[in-house]
Amino acid sequence: MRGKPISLGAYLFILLMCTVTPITLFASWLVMNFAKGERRSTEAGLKDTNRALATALDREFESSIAALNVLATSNLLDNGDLRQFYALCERARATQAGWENITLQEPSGKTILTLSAPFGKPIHPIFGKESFEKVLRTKDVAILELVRGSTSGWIFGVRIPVLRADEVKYVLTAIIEPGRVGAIMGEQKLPGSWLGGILDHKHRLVASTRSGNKFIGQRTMMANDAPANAIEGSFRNHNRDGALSYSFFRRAPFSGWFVVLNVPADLLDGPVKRSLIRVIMVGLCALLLGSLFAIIMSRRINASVAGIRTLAQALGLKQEINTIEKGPVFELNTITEALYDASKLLQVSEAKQRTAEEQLREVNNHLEQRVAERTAALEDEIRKKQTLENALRNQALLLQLAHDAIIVRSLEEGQIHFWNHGATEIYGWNTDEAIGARIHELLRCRSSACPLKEIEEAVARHGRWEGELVRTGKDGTELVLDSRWSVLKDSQGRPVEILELTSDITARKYAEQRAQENEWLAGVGTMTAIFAHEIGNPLHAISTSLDLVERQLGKLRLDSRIKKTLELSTHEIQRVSTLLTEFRAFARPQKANLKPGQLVDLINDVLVPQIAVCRKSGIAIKRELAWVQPLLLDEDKIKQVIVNLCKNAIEAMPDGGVLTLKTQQSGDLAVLEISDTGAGIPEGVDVFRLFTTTKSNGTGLGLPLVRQIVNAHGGSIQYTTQPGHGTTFRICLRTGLTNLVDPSSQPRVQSTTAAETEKMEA
Amino acid sequence: MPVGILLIENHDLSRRNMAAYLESFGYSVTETGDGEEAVKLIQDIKYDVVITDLQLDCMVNGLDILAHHKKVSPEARGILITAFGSTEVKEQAASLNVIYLEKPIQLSQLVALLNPVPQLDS
Repeated sequence: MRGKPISLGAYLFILLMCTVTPITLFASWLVMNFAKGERRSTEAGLKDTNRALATALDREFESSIAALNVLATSNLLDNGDLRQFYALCERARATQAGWENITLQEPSGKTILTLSAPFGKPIHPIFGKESFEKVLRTKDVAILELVRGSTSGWIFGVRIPVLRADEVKYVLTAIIEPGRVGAIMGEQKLPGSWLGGILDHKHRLVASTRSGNKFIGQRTMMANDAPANAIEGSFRNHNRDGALSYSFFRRAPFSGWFVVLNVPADLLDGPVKRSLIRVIMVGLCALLLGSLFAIIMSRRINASVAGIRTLAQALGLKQEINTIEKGPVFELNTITEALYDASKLLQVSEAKQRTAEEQLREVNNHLEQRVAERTAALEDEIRKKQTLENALRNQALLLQLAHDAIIVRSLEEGQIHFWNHGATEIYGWNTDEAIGARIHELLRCRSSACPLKEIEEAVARHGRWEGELVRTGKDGTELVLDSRWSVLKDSQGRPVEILELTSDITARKYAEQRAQENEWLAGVGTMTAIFAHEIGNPLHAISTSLDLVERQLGKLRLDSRIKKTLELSTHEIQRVSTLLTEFRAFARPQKANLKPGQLVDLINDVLVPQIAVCRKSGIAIKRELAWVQPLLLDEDKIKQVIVNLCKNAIEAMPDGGVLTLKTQQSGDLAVLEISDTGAGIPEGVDVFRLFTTTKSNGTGLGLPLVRQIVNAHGGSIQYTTQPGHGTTFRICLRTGLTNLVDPSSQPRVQSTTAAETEKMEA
Repeated sequence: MPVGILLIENHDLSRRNMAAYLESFGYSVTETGDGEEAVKLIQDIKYDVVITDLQLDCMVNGLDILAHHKKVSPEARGILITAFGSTEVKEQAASLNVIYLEKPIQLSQLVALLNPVPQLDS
């Protein structure tokens, strides 16, 4: 259903209206029809009564006329015996009810006989001249209209002509009192509420069933209300009491008089009105009662619906429903009961669920208890195992914690089965990489330092070996190792694996080497100092002597041979002097006096004096000097480094070549490269070793000195050389004015490659 | 007035050679091999230049003499000659603003260092 929803009450009210209104209308129609029928029958009754009354009235007149005709035909009138006729009339009056008088007039109008007076007594003048003349004129019967009589009030009468030889001889009149026609109405026995009346043809009241003679002779309202020539009809008017009434009239055909029946309007209209009112009242009452019922019903239904909603909500929330209230509507009650049943079912199912859960819980508890018991037992076992495992783990941990490399590998293949953390630390390979690999492939040995064959023989013979090895780590570093090998045997006592316990003694070896070297250098230094001092003085004496001799002889004209000898002597002394200078420089402790400086400036300073030398030897100087950050350095010493390296480079190119000086910033390092295009350094020569030289006149002091100076700066020096193509020395110095590198940091020796010999000092 | 040089050298041959060589260039050279005597001489006579060996086999060494000489004649020049110097000695010489030379030296080089020498007002 579309549109705005309306309340149940409104629906019920509409239903009520739709039911009650047509019923009421139909009932009204029925009642109206019935009332109209009633009215019609009442009217018919009234009309019938009227007709009967009119007939009775005419019959009264006709009987009076008949009685008069009997008198008129009397012989007594032929013979004029009026006395006898008077007596006849008297007898006739006695027989005719209501006859008051009988008169006899001559056509001249003279009354010759009247019963109201004794015979022969003076006669009253004639009444109703109009009807008298009509009789004379028509020679027929005429009705004497209501007139006031001389003695007894209102009267009327009938006149007939007494014809003799078709001539009116006399006119005979019967005077009748109005009460006679009133009696006609009395004979009809009209209902009490009806008012009957007889009017003459001039609409004057002759008789009425009520009020006696009070209104006789008065003209009635019929003259105004009824159509002039109507024989029968009805009209509505107010009667003399002022009450609304209906008047039904009929004209008697013979006499032309009117019979009128007056009934109260209520008699005809009342039933219709009352019935209508009653029907409407009943309809309204039905509507009212129905509305009340609808309101009550809708309220109770609403209450039921609210109850259902509450139930539904309770059901939705799984609340328990204990009581239900039944409403007035069966269907709603059905829903309520259904919800109640659903709630009960839900509760039952929940109860079942609870029971099931409880059972489950019990089972669970039981199981838990079992599990707890079992767990306790297991825990006990586990505790025992844990103690054992802890012991094992501690052992394993100790293996892992050991700084020594512990490796187990197969005897034949050298496949690694165990590799501890110490091994990873020393060699760089982690456990995953190492396990399964072949040891001699993973860790290459320097063949000269690692006589594998001998070792394996020793192991095969004695079941163990102990000694030093040089192996290459993951990063290519050569490691000096102290290794102890033991054969592991299987259950049958067959050798299957080798256990290697290895310590890294590279640093120790290096330190030892350095200490030896330093000790040696110190000795050399002392020796050099003594030598320099002891040589210096005599040499000085000789030198000055030669200078003096040359000076003194120069003034003389000497043999050129002597001069030449002097020159050569001086030259030799200079050579010794240079050597002495180098010795001195080397012998001095190389303590750098560090101050902020710029490397590129130093290079330029040093290079200027070299230009002439280079030109002489046909060497081009190539400068690729990129700016580097300022650094802390000892200017004199670094100058000496550059001079020494340049000198070496120049001396390496006796037939010319290119001397390249290159600087660049690399991270926080200033890098200086000095390259020559000379013969290169033969393989296997450690040029940094004291007294090692490739030059005919070299002292073997220059490059060791250079290395000492660079080391004193916390820098590094290395070289690459390609025989026949040249050598490049590469010096790295830390830039920045604050970070001094600890010059005592541990060095590492780098491996050599076939093509290039590379030596690095950190 | 010729430039007055005090030459202190305990190696006799060297001292005589140097003195003779310098005198041949017109310098007035006072020579001695004793450091203590040299101190006295500096005390008594104003020298334009003091040339001294470092090690003198006595209580004072060449640096002490040059320091003393600087005190007496702040504007005078000094030359320190040694057969075995050290960085410290070199630094001390620099701090006294004297020339540092290592043996053997070429005397022509020494003369070049002395010439021109600022003349002291007598």
